[in-house]
Amino acid sequence: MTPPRRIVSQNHYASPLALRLYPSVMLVLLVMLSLIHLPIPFVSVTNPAFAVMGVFYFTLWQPRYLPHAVVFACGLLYDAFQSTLFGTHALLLLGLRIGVARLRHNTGFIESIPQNWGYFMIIAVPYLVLEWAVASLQLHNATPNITLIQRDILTLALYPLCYFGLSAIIRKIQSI
Amino acid sequence: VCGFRLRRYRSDSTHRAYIILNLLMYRTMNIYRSIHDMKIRTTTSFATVLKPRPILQMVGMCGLFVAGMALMFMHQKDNASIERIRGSLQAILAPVVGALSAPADFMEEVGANVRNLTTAYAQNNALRSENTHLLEWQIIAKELQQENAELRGLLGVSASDTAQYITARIVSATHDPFGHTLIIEHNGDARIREGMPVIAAEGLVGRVLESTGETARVLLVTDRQSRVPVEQEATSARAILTGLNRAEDMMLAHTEHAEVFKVGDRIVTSKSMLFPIHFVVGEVTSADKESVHIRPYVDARKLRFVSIVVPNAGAQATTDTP
Repeated sequence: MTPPRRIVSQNHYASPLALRLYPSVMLVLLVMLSLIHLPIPFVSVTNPAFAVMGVFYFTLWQPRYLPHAVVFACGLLYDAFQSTLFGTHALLLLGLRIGVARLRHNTGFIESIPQNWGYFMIIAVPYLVLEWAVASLQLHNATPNITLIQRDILTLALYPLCYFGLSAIIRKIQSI
Repeated sequence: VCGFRLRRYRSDSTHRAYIILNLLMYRTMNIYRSIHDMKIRTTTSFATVLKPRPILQMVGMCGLFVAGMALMFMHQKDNASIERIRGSLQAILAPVVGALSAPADFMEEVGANVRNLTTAYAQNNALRSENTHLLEWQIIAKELQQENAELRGLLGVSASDTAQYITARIVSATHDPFGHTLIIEHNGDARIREGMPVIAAEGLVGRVLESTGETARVLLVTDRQSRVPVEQEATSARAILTGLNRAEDMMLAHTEHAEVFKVGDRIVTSKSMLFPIHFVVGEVTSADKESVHIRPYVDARKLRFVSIVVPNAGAQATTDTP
């Protein structure tokens, strides 16, 4: 029985262009996914922060395939549909990208799902708190509501699914 | 770590000195490693050769931070160009979001159909009973319509349309903890202005926040920033309806007489130039001296189309005819 193929293979000879473009395109799609109503039980209350999952995963996988400018642009796309000040999420996601890149510098890509999930929680919780604090300052309201808590829990809980999905696509591209 | 091997020396002071030396070397190696990772390489002549790529990356990153801060500052100062950029982005993204939401809509429709099939028998019975009830109301409505026309004839008052309705398709719905908004696509009517009511069959949905070309942004009544003047249908006790960023809960503020609000009371909009008729909003779910909570009739997450109410120029705020 052959072991499962590692997604951190350094030799992406098969489809280098597809692999290079994949994080940027997928991040744009994840941002769009945050903006549509998903008919999934529990998720229909509020969409999880897909963009946070995407930025964390791709930066940890291959930071050079996810340029800062793309993360910033995705943040602006998200901001266009939000009540917060234009540029807020662009800066927050850029900060997240830098933070995760720093983590990767120390750890490399973490293939073990529990570890990866653990690191996601360590990084995502301060990010979500900071996002809430910034939005509260801007909207002059500092009370965390139930929707916010639901969204944050969903974001943390659904990360492994996101990990599986994104990794499966990488394996598929590598196998082409 | 650094190639030094700790050995047990007879003298404790020698041993301690070796440990300190090892730690110092470890620290130096770490600094060297981080310098090496930044692609700054030292030559034998101690001249540093900096690679341009990380410097450009750093400059680009700082540029992005400055750009982000500048955008936020401009938006804070209500700069018109920011609104234009937002509007353009919404207009560009609207078809993409629409296309992406098509499969989700299809799935939702399939789910609803399956649910309907499973409850078809009970639904059929409920509809039969409702139909009988509505037929009774139809007879009463016809009588009232006739009576109304006769009374108008006696008083010499002619009924006039107070508003026109523009149908719009929902492109995107944000039910974020930080805001409840809709992006809608309309026919590009130039009369659509900020503040105009947006309604659905069940009642008031929200108000137009901004309109650019064929897209408009709607602030839902459930948004925390929304403020709508409302009144109790039966007693006309006035209040201001505020959202809580929850899809199924809103609150009344500045209530004239909090004690008159009872559970189950219908809440409608107060008449004004923007709200030419009483639009139903929701019903009271809990009421005490401290707070009155309202459940909206409209669940904006399930809507696909809405109507923008464009009040006629000569509409009187007191007329009741839609």
